[in-house]
Amino acid sequence: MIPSPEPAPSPPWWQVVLIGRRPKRTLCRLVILLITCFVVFRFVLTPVRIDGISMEPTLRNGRIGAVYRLAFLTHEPRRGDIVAVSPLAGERSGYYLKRVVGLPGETVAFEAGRLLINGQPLDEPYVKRRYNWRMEPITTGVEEYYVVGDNRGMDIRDHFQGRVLRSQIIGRRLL
Amino acid sequence: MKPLWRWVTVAVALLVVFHFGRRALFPDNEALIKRRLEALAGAVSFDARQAPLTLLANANAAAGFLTPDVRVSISGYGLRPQTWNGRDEVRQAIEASRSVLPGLSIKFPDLRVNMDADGQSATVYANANGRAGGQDLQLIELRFTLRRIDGDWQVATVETTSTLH
Repeated sequence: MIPSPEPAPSPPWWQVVLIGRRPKRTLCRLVILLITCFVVFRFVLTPVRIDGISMEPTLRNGRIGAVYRLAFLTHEPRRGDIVAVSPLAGERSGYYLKRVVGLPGETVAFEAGRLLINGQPLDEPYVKRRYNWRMEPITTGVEEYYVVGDNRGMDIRDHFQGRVLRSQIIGRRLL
Repeated sequence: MKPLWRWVTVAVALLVVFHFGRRALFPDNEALIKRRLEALAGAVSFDARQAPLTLLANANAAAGFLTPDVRVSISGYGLRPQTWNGRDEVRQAIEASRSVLPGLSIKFPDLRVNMDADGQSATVYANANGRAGGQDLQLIELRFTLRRIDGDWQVATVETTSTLH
């Protein structure tokens, strides 16, 4: 008569809680999870924290959001999109979040606080307060967009805005 | 572990060690320039608790990263435009910052190096941030030009630049 094999001793409860009953499987899951997080947060959806008031009231200072990096794979940035712009040196320091108002080849100007595109005022329902901004017409290049924040209630000299190359626009604000 | 996997693991480990070892022992110009600028940021930074002689030595060390005819031009939102010409003038400005500020910490989290064709000069874009007197500094974008002088990379110009123009 063959003696029946003794059942394997069950692992201690703390091991089950920490690494599960099958550590190898848990390790595989962990690796897959880490790779997935890396790919998603690096190449698809980048979390951002708003630092500054230039996009108020649309984006409040300190708010958490996300940038969808694949947004412009199928189409180019459109007027009204809130986009993330990578600084010249790199993006580890952060991004500029601005709204696209001028498309390539257009002329952008501010007159009495109103934004003019090719001499015509642009309807901007997202702008709640207007300071008396004035800026001479600027024409964007073939690969350039004009971006500006929604907070026009501040002095134009304190507001970071201007032309940006298409290659520096890395995605669209999603949240 | 099966023997093949063992050999593959060893080969990958050796490749990684070789790669990082080569970069550490024989850095290319881009790595040298990055190290140089990070060292410059460290020399410009200071803590008010440091001894006066240390502060002075660091200011001199910072000046050692610069060419004799260096030109530093800083402007931007919230900053009064200022220009310093020559290594001595920059060193005096660094020394003056020690007496004006309670502390300064400068970092370059992003550095993009563009080598010129001759290999003897380079343009570097940097994002600079840090803290002064316990308060966060506004991020500014800088453009450095560096020249290779007697084997050392030295800063010839520093100016603020802007992604949005």
